[in-house]
Amino acid sequence: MTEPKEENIQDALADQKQNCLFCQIIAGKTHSRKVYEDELCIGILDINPANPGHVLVLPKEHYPILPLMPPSVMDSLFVSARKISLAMLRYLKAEGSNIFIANGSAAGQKAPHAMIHIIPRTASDGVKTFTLPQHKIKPEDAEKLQQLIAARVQAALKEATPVKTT
Amino acid sequence: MACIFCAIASKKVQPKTVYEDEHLLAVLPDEPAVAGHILVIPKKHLPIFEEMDDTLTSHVFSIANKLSIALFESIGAQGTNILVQNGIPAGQEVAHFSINILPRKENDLLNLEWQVKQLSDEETSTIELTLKEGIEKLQQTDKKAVAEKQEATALSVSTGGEENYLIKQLRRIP
Repeated sequence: MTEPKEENIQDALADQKQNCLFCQIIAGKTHSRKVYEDELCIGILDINPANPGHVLVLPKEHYPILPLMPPSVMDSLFVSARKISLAMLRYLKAEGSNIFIANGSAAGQKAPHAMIHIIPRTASDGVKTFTLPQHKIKPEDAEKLQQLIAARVQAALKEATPVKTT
Repeated sequence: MACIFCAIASKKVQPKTVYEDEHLLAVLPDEPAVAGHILVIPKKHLPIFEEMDDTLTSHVFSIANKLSIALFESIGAQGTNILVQNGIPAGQEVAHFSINILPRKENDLLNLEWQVKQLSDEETSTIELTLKEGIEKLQQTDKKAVAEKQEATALSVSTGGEENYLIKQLRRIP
């Protein structure tokens, strides 16, 4: 019963990849303004920038969300992000940067190709989006959340280190 | 101890910890942006992203990713955001690098959508070129640093006559 399901997932992914604008950009079939490239990732200017110089860093391979990305690709992505952020500070006269990832449409993910946004910031740019609100929380609610999340994290770490038998 | 995050990381202040390892602490902030908001704080005091090294960068974001997955599974988040406020203009309030992980649900009260700032083609081309050249310079510097390190390692393991030969080679590099 599990095999057909696996096939369906692979088919769905292949479909998604074929219709993915970013895969087309990476394949050179659609124009983009590329500012960075290495073996595993590229960096391009966002066509809907929050600020001038807003860059998207994405893996050349298609992964719908960050959790599906292999560790080596993820590492490369974030190391590149740091370099690009430094370039913004040094060469675009940015005074700071926001690093932003959206996993899932509820979080604002617009395209099915996982990516990191790097947004150069200045004191006078008027961008309010990334100033987070601060809410009071009842101590008992905070306790409950802490326990739930900590327990899940512990369980996940145990699951992540399976013993190989072959 | 002036830095509140250093105080939290060293447990001088009692945080609500959800994960800890040798390099970082993940806690629930006292005034979250949304219920389940997690703050990842490296134990080393580094004010901004650019001062981190590659190894620590990979590690903190790898954990941030795992924590964001845990939010889906523990509190039923439908999506997650990972946000770094790097520098005061970017919203950084404590001069100690940290990562925010935010659980999201459809129609929750958090709005992280920006207003698009459209530029002319010319302005965009200028930025594209400036950034591209700047990044290339940084990549060249990195490559040079790696090469120099390798030379230094080679030098330190060589002996006698061979050492003089390697010093001569080094002096030839422009």
